[in-house]
Amino acid sequence: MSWPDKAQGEESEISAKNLSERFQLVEPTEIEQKWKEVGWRTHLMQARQEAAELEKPIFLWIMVGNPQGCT
Amino acid sequence: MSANTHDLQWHRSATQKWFMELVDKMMAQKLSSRHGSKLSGQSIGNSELDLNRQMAQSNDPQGMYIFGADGTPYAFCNDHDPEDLEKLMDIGLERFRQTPPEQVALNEEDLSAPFSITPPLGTQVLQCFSRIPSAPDSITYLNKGVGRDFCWIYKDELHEVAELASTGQEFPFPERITRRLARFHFLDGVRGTPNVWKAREVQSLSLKATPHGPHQLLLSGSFSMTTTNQRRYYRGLIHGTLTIDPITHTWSQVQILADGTASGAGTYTPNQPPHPYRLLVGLLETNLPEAQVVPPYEVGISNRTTRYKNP
Repeated sequence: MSWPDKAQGEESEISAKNLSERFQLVEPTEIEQKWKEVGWRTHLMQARQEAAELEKPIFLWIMVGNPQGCT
Repeated sequence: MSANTHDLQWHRSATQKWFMELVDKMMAQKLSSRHGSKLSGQSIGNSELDLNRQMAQSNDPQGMYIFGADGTPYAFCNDHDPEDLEKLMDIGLERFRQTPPEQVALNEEDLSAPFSITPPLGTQVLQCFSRIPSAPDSITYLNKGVGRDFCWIYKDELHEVAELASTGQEFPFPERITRRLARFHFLDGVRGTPNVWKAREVQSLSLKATPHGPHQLLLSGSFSMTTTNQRRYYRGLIHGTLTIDPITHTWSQVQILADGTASGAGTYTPNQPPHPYRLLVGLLETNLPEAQVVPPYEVGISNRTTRYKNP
């Protein structure tokens, strides 16, 4: 099997030895994880209960695929 | 609160019924609050009919809703621009204060009702991320994002891997897991909803595990998936490492990485880099609470686990 192993202008030596380095390229950064700090609920009825107790409105974000996962 | 449109719109439950009634109320009052969108370039004040138009055109209720616990609707929009969202929340909060909801009392049945497909007992959930690490500035900014998903490793599979590892000999990683990774997780989910790979689109796939130190495995392999029309592919190498708990057989210190070259647009993910591009997909363990509620994309969309469990 052969495939281009050079990204544009970037060294991309693929080996088991540099797995951790390459893995860091894919993990989200702190800024990319910031939205997680909202504390998203994932059960609508439980969210309704909590909103009623706190006397707050509910902000619901829905997509094809839960935004917490693949969408 | 976040949710999968499919769970709320199609999967029959008390929750689905309640939500679709909310959609009806939102549409009846024409509460879409689109105050212009930087993403679409539309001017301020244009269009108050987002939800109504979406539902008429494609029966699609995706978006952001603001409502009271009793179902009183306050605002809707489907723009992801931060300023638009701030305006949406300001409008929603103002309407909430003007017309506060009535008291509600939910019963135990509603509060504990299943909401989406959750992992079976004993399943280990991994987080999955996808990234185009060399996306140039000249292409659509969506290529600079990170794709997300969850991956399930079933209890019997954890036991199988632990048993094979206990021999101390190199072994082929269980095919069910390898095919699941290839078909449902080695995807370009960077720009949005990815296409999963059909079984016949898996051209070649191999993954072996080599015991390395106490309870640790090193993984190495390769993959190649191509659509029948050759317009889209992803091929490359797999490397990984994980540590097996000798008692529970669960995995820790997980790093599984698909590193390869991709090309071609997905159905809902156009504007990919114009030339074959490097695509990384990484999996690692997680203890996020939502990992126990949000299923893998394939499971959430199909509303079944059959194909996912036995790819």
